[in-house]
Parts: sequence; C-alpha cells; structure tokens
Amino acid sequence: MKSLKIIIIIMLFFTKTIKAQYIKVELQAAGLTCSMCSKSIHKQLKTLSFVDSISVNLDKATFILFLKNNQTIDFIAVKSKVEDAGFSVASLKVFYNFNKFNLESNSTLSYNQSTFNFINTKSQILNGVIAFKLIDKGFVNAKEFKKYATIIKSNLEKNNYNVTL
Amino acid sequence: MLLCKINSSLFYLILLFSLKVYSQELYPLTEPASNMAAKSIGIRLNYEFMPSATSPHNLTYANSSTMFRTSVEAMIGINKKWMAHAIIFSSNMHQQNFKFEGGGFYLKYRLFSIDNIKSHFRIALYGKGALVANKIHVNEINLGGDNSGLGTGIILTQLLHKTALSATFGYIKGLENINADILENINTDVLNYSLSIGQLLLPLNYVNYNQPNFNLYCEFLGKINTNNKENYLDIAPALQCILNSVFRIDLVYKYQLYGNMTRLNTRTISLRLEYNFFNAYK
Repeated sequence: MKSLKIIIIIMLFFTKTIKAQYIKVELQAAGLTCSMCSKSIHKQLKTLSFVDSISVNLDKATFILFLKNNQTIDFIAVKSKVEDAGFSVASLKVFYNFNKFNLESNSTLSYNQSTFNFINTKSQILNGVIAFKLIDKGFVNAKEFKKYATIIKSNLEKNNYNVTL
Repeated sequence: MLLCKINSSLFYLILLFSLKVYSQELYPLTEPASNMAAKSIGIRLNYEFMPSATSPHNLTYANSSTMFRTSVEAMIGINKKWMAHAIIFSSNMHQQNFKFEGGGFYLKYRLFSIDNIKSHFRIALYGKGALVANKIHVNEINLGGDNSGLGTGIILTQLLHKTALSATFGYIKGLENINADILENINTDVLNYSLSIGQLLLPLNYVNYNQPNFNLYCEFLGKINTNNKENYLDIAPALQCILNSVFRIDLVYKYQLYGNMTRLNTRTISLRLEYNFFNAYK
C-alpha cells in the first residue's frame, strides 16, 4: 500500500513536470491605433476555446495568447478572429519549447496534430524556448508574403503551416 | 517657385508626421470605410439642437420655436465585409409638436483593404434610404429625418503614420414623403461629399482599455443640387470621449461655411451617445 502511494506521488510529480511545448503565441495586429479597435480584437480572441488568457500591449497592438494545455491550436481560427474584428494579422509568432530539435532545411515539426514546415532556415539544433513565425498568406503582410510565396511549397491547410525562424 | 511650394508642403507633411499624433476615424457625422467588428452591436442616441432663426431664408412654414430632433440608431456588424444600421427619427422641425417622423437604413460593404502596422487604406461602398412622413419644405434633400429617399456612394479612408483622413462621395435621390404634397418645385437630385479629419488628444500612451480617449475631429460636409446648382458647405468641429473602449460621447457643432441652398437651418449642435456590445451574438 505504501509503495503504491509512493508510485502515485512519483507519477503526480512527473505529470506536473511535463511541460507544454507551446509556451505562448505573440500576435501583432495591423490596421489600427484606437483602443476601441483593439478591444474588438481582444473580445474576438477571447472566444477561442484553446486560449486560456490574453495579455495586451495596446501601444504596439500586440496580443500575447497563453494557451490551454494539450490542445490543438487552430492558427487559422486566430487569424479569422482578427479579420472578423476588421483588421489583419501583421505577425504571429509561436514560442515553442524545443528539446534538441535537429533543424535542417525543409524540416517538419509535428505537435498536437499541428504540422509546421520550416522554410528559409539554416541547419542547427534548437533547444529551449525559441519563437518561430507563421509565413502563410494572411499571417504576414502582403509585401512580406510575396517574398515567401515562391518558396512555400504547400498551400495553407488546416493544421499544416509554413514557418520560419 | 513650384519647387519651393513642394518643398514647403513636404516640410509641413514631415512636421505633421513627426508630431506622432494618434488619430481616430470614429467620425461623428460620417462613416469611415472601416466596418465595425463582426457580431458586434451598437446602440446610438442622437440629440440635435437647432437654435431658432438660423435659416438664411424666411421659412414661415417651419417651426418658429427652437427646433430639435432625436434619433435612435441600432448598428450591427454582420461579418467582416458587411455592416448595417437601422434608425428612427422624431422632431418638432415640421410642426409645433414633437412627433415621430419615420425611419431609415444604412448598409456598408468593405470593398478593399490594405493593413499595415498602425496604418490602413480602405474603400467601402454604401447604400442608404429613409422613409418619413414630413411635408417637404426645402431643397436640401437629406436622409437624416427630413426627406424620404435613397442614396449611394463610396468612402475612402486612409490611416497613415497616425493621421486619419476620410472622404465620401455620394448621390441622393429624394422621393415623395408619406402623406406629403407632390414634389413641386423641389429638385431631388443631390450630390454629397465630405472630408473628415480626426486625431487623438488623450491618452498620450495607451496602457489599458479603461483609459478615457479624447479625440478631436473636423469634418467638412457639402451638397450640390445637380438641377439648380444650389450648394452649401458645412464645417463640423467635434470633441469625442470614449470610456472603457465601449462607450462613446460626441459633441458636435456644425455650421454653414458658405451656400445658397434653401435649408431649414444652418447651425446644429449635436450630442451623440453610443454603446458597443462586442460578440453580442453567436
């Protein structure tokens, strides 16, 4: 009985120490300056089921999304919410906790049903919290997307994104 | 000489940009090309006060006492492209007693949009209409409570380096009011145009959504009657306060800069109260 208790305690300890790989998402919105506009985006983002809490930098129109654990994050839904508020996504960065990830050209990262195709990156080992940026249409401004359009191989699909460091 | 002029305008332009003023496009009297958020609802109460004897013409049929009009407007963001307004009017402008006049609608479609950090350029098309039961007195065809009619137009809004400008070009066709006399001697084709400028006075730095915003506006609104070429141009300076990022209070003083059009009044003081509900429905 005592050994069972110890096993349970050890198991609980491990469940607590397993970190979620998504640390946070940093989103910058384009096309606004007023707080009323920012509030409309904030209210839209709050309706996303996988968002736990939001921290806002009003001056920079930047929203930090803290996510619920072990959920599939639908980044297309995030983009749609910003567009529903009447604005666009200027940039969307995912802060991810890498564990000695061997990044080579055309590497793919899969996590919680989402696939990220790395584009335009140098070969390196990624370790610790590092941000990568979505570069699909609508996640960067039109000018920046043009730059990536020729090197992106797959079109934007649900749970399949093109990213760069 | 020309080069000198260009240089000096460039200087003022650079000076304007370097002031780093935030600007706003929640214009009190015109709509910007931007839409309200999808699934949001706004309610607006509008109180217009028109001091007596402001008409440049001897309009004996108009109400001789101080004129005022109230309107209630409901606004809805249908999706990111479409939004709609519905409005009802009451006034004592056409008779001694305060009376319900009728209603109107406004539909706006966002046609084009380029967004960048703190800047955008947008184009929208709109359609509007009004059905009222007033007796038509004057040549100034408007869809703001006096006349029945239909209107359409285009809006261009530029927010660039924290400076916002908006222009509207439209056409209004006056129609017969309910139970009114036939449109005798009334020219019903009107072109309308406007130029609006807005800027944020306070806060200097955004920290949270509860900070009150104070905005200063100046709008120029004009009309040209295409049949008899009667026209006017109004200027409307306004002060706006936004509380909790949802409640908006506008105080507007509109008066005629020049014109030869027969109008009921040439000076209006307006108070507008607006409350917005975001994610009002699923």
